[in-house]
Amino acid sequence: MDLRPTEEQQAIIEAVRDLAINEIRPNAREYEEDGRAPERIEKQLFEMGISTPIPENFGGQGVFDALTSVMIAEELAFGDPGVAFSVLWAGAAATLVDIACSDSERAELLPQLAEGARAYVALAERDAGADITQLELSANAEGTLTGRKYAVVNADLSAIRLVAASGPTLWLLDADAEPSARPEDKMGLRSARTFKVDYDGASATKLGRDAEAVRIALLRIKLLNAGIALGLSRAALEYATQYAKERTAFGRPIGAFQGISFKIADRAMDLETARLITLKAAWAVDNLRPEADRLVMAACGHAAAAAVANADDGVQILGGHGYMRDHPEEMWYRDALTLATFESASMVGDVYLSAAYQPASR
Amino acid sequence: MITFELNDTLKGIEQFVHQFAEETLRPLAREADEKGSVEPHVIKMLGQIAGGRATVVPEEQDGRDGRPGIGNMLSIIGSEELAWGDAAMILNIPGPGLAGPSINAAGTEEQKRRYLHEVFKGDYPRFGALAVTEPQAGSDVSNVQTTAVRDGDEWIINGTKIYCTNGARADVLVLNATLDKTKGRAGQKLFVIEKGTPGMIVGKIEKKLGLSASETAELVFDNCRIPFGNILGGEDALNPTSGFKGTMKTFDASRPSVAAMAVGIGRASFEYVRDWARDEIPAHSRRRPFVELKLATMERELEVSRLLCRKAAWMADARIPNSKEASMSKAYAPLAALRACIGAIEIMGPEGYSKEHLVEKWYRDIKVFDIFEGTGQINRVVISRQILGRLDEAVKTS
Repeated sequence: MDLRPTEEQQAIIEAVRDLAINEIRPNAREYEEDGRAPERIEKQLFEMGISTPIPENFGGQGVFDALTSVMIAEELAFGDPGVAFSVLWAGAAATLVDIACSDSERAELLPQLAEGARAYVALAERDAGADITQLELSANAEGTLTGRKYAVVNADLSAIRLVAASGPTLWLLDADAEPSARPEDKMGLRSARTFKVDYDGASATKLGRDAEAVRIALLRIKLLNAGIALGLSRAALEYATQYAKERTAFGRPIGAFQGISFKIADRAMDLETARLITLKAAWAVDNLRPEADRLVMAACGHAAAAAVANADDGVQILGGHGYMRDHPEEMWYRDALTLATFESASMVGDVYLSAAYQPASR
Repeated sequence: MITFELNDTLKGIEQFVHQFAEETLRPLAREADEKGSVEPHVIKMLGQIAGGRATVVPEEQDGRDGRPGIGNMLSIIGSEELAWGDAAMILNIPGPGLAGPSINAAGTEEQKRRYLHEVFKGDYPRFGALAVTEPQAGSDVSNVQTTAVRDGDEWIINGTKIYCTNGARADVLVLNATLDKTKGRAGQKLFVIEKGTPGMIVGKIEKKLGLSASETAELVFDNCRIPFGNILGGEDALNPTSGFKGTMKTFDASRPSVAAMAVGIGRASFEYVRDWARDEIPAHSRRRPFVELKLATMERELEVSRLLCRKAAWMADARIPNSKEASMSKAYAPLAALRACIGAIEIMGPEGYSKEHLVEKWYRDIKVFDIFEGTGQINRVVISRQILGRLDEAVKTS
């Protein structure tokens, strides 16, 4: 057991943290109002080799293991969860292709991504959330798709369009396919420009070395949401903590009251447990451990629940101020539950885990 | 580099202890609970088998050449497995117990040699104990009323300690007493009292909700005289502030172990009801999806509890200050385990409260884990102070 990041991981975390604190956080409200992540930040993260990890022999700056990618997700989301969601789910296409695809598919797609081609990964569904074992979008033998996806980032602008289908299997939408994509006018994560896409009748080509490679790659990118939830939790907790130190009532800082300080302790434990299980899940994915799928589902559920609780208490600790747009807590409150719809502990994570306890006859 | 893999030594110990818990502790759990004690011959056997715990090479335990040790990790892995077997039985395993960490943290080399090794040599079971709690001082350790007064080459101890695990049978008892009540915590020091010292009187042996087979004693000190050298840390301990820190350091080491025991009890409940439900709740039952979901939640919450314990232990082994993490494990794991114990009884229904199964015992046993070694509330005070700083300080002194 060892919980120290490598020097390389430490350097990446610090670079991303710097960007998140100094560039993203101060403008988060503006991005939310624009309804999209700023191109400047997208470009910067792309050029740093952070958002779209591609192997050097395909023109990129190298790839990360799952551990590093969840650390990056946490740091970016600490700046703004919506920007993190937008940038990372576009970049996830590169990871998916790199891990799941055959050499010829990689040789075709990765250089395009390295040159900056826009891409998306369509994963979330209404009934499955992001449970990769329960996906209902289907493809027939000719590669015609049936089904709908949610939270597809920049669906209208993307050239490389990856769609996860039941199995799970992975599909590349044909260039002439034009599925109907409607912008999502969402409660939260508004700085992520997302679409609800109906794929009925769209033609696609199957990708992937084999089912196992696709499964591992999907688990891997799914874990990004746990990382984003960690960053959101940390942001909400730190902001509320600072407020609790400064705001006085009845002659003392409100943090001196146990009604407030115990909330902070509880939410800090939610964050800590979420981070530990997310790191363990990432470690399990990196090492192809048999328990990786259970850990990923548990981590995504636990981290989402931690984010919802942290944002809720974040607003509560700020009281009336928390409800107002002058402070970011109300934004994180909306972001948290939007993110959690894909992962909510009881509805997706634990439902997945519970399958292990079903009678074999089912 | 981040890894959650345990090294081979730890894996070996985990397996060994699990087998001991399964074959030796679990079968004796019900009888010991009903009798409220463990037979002397069983205690002797526990001592002999648990002696195997000492097989780890010492340098690996403590760490050498700047490499982290594994002593704390070993302790939490052992604690979880043993408590999975039976939490009350393991408190009957001979050894220094909670006196160990405080002697280790605050004692001189000579004291460590004498009270951690020499006393525990030999054939028959020996026990150590830590006496901190008093009728008027639980979480507020700084409020202890027991006094130590120097009289030439001796200390005279006066006061009452309660809820002391293995207190009556302890060969080595560590207690905290105040030299100067006006100095609060800084006035407190730790002392060792050996069995049979005149003036140490065993009072009431408590009857409890759970952990019945574990001895919980009241100890009364009536002009109890001990040698001057029995102050932990020796003469140096009389420098300001050293004594209370010793007690607190003890908690940083012991809280994750106690939390790990809670995980062990929660896991016992979880595994038992998981297997029971598989066989006993029909596939068509309307309760089935609820039961499956409940099991999943238990599994997740116990997993994150275990990770908190392991992180706190890893930090201690790597010599990273871990007060916050130690308290987090202690604040979180017992409640997660309690939820697992409640869930198990709910799932089993009327079978759950029956003494035919151990789940009702686990539910009684687990409750105290959110109380001893610091209540959930005092651990939240520790955690929030680490995060917020001491905001209440100004209020207290004003």
